[in-house]
Amino acid sequence: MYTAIAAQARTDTIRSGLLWPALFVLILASILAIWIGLETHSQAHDAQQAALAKDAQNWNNQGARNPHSAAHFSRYVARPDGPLASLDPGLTPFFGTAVWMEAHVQRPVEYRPAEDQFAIAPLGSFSLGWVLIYLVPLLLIMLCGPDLAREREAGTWRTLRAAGAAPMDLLLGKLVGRASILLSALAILLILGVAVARSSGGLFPDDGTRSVLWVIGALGYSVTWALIALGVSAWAGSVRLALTILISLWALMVIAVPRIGASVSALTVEGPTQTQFLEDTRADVFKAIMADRAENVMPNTPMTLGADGQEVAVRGLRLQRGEVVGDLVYDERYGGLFGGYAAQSGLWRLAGLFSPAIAANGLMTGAAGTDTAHHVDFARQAENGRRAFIKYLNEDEIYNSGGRGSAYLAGEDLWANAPDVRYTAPALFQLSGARPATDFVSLLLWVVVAGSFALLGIRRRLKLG
Amino acid sequence: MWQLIQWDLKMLSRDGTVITVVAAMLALGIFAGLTGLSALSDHAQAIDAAKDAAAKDIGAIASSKDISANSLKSATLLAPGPLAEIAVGRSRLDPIMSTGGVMSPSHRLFEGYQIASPDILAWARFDVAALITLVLPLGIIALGVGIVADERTAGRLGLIDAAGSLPKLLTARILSRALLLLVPILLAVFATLFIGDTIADRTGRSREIASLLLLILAQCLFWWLIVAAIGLKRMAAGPAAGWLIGIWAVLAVILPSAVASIAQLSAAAPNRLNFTAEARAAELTAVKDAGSLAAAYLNDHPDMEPTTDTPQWMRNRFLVTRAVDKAVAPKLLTFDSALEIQVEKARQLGFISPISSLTTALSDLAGTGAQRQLAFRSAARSRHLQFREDIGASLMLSAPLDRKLASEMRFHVIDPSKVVTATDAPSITRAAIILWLGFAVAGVVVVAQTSRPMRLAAG
Repeated sequence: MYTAIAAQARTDTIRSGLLWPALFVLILASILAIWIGLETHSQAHDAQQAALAKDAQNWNNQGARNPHSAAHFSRYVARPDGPLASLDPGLTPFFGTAVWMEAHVQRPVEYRPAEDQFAIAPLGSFSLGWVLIYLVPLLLIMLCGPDLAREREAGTWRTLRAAGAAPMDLLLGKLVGRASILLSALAILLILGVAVARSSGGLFPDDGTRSVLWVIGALGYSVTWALIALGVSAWAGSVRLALTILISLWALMVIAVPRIGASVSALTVEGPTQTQFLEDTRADVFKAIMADRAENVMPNTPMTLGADGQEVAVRGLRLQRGEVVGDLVYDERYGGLFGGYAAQSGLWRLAGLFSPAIAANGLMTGAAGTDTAHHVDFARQAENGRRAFIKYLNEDEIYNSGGRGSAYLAGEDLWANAPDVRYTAPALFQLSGARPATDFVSLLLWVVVAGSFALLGIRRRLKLG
Repeated sequence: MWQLIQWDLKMLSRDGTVITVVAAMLALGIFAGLTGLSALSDHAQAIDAAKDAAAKDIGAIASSKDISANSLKSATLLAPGPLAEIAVGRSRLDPIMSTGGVMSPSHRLFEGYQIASPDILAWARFDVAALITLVLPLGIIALGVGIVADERTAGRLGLIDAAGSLPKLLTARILSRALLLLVPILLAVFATLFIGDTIADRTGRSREIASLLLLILAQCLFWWLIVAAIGLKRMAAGPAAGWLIGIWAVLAVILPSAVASIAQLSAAAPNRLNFTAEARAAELTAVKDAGSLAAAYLNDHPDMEPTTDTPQWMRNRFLVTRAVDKAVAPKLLTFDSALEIQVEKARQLGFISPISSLTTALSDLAGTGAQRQLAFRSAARSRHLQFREDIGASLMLSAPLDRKLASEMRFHVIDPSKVVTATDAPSITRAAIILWLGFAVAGVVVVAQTSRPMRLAAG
């Protein structure tokens, strides 16, 4: 029975004249999105590599200089994008891309791509992820939405009941018949997109797993919408009502709920303002260092004896001590800031109870490495790198300056042997703050709920005739 | 006509779907207003905090006997846009403050503002502008899809047409529904503007408010005419709804995103990290060349004696900063002009969709768009350069520090609205032209359809 229903539904879909326009739109939009994504990614990658090469050249060729002066000049560490970011940039435009590892100061991650994207798109920029979240549901609504409601308008439910069609057969048959061609084309486009994106190189140790999860997220979301469309179609009394409800649901779940959810989380968990955060942090660091200096008085001589009995420079000791004391304040301040991000993100994800777009977005951007957890991970790694980098320079001042203070000049060996701070891309399941399992379960729940909703609608309609 | 409208309003008040749509519009309007007000409030708080910090410093400048130009700062802030509460635009994304001392290079004036959560920056943008551009058309479609199709389905269309009252009925139905939808939208707009006034005082914005109302009206007319034109085609309500949603999806969803992405890609701004690396290279060169920089500075000020009170490192740092600014100034201009080209390209491509143009027009009108930000950056940089030259001179020359000037330059709020209103008038005009053109085309279709009663009745 299931195969017969599927075959009939497929024939109806082809004859309706909607399938080919839908496929055309999907293929055209996906190819355009993949091209835009790869071009943008490639431009950004090349520019970043050129910038880092220049930065390395600047650092290595600074000549004879005092290490503390060099610590203020310092270097940049940049965040590379994973291969899937070209398909699903997620929050990437809103992340900073690089950190200046200057002495004394933990800086926010700077240079957000969105700052240089002045063209406004009310629903975000075009990408394959965008096509999946916004466009694919509309195409599925167009293909599956009128189907079961039309059966009612044509009075064919009784025939189906008389023929002994089981609800599950009907659901699977309609799903396969109505959506399988579009979903198959989508699957091919996704796999093609992933293959092309990954051909330019990998970043994460688990790029394979991430790719699979991303494709699963995309397909799970699409199947959810096909099931919602069939369910509403089964419950609605007419094609018009079914389409009106479906479009309203789409507007609500895909456009309104994610934005309202974010506004609620911004209003509920208020973040600090720029001035407040920076001024307060600066003042706290200053206070902490002054208090520490008053408590741990250092000798007023250029040199002193270190713990190992070796002569060490007091200036270097003081600088490093200041870093350590300042770091405690930064840990607290930035810990609070990132805690706020996590709370806002968590609240936003709660809105996923009302929208499969949020659940799918969480899973897909997590897999692509373009969510907040990855941003925070980069910020933390960059800060750890900064601390190691500055410590290395301060230790040179401590052990090699001979108490000459700012008159001491270090040579090029010091610059060449400085720690090479790079971002180590994490595995998704080991990343603190990432919730791939929760997102996966949320999306799975949506599939189950949408499927049950459709099944119940079909069962009811079979009963009523 | 008025009687018809009254009668229709009475019928609509008993329709559950209509009540739901109007109530949803009101609820979304309140929510959208809150989002805009929250962004405006953050902006106002940042200005207050900067003002407090400046007041402390100004006190210290007046009372401290031994104060060096090295310790002084100048802050320039962007005033909230005239209708900032209506469109969040770029207000959470871009810097609203530049703070720098005499040793701060121009390209680092706006640093440190990147602390907002990426989730919020990306998603918390459901403001009144989004309500007008994205949701209002959906409300119009929901209320308007059945105005003709239902009569056709019920078989009454022929009768109405025979009585010669179809155009009158159509107009009355559109007007009554338009009225019902405009009430929650205007309530949300005026409530938001009223509360916004209590958060930040912006006088003289009646011109902007009038433009906003005109744009809302143009958007309503455009979509009502589209609804009427589709409704008059020989279609049942189902396919008509499908067509309208399709048109909306293309005009409001697909085209604006594609246009923005293509504009960004075809006129991409230079990489900021690369630019910074170039500035740092210029810094290294200047550090090595500090001696000749000092000589050149003194040559440029032959009427003043050099000072020996300032430490050598401080003088060097001041000279290096000036040299870096001089070296990167042309690149900084290239950067700004690349962004201007991108904005212009998006505006040109925006002709494809009225929603693209309307979005740009609303954010320009609100003062949260690209042009105002660029104008702010440029003004803040000029002000900073003036501060550095006037105040920093005491580090190099025997002239005493001008405390009055230092106090005056400590804090300043810039409102580039006037400049931007002049330059951005085309964006608002363009949006209006596109909407009115669409309105005219749809109007012609409607007139053509209503003048063929027999075809309609047969449909």
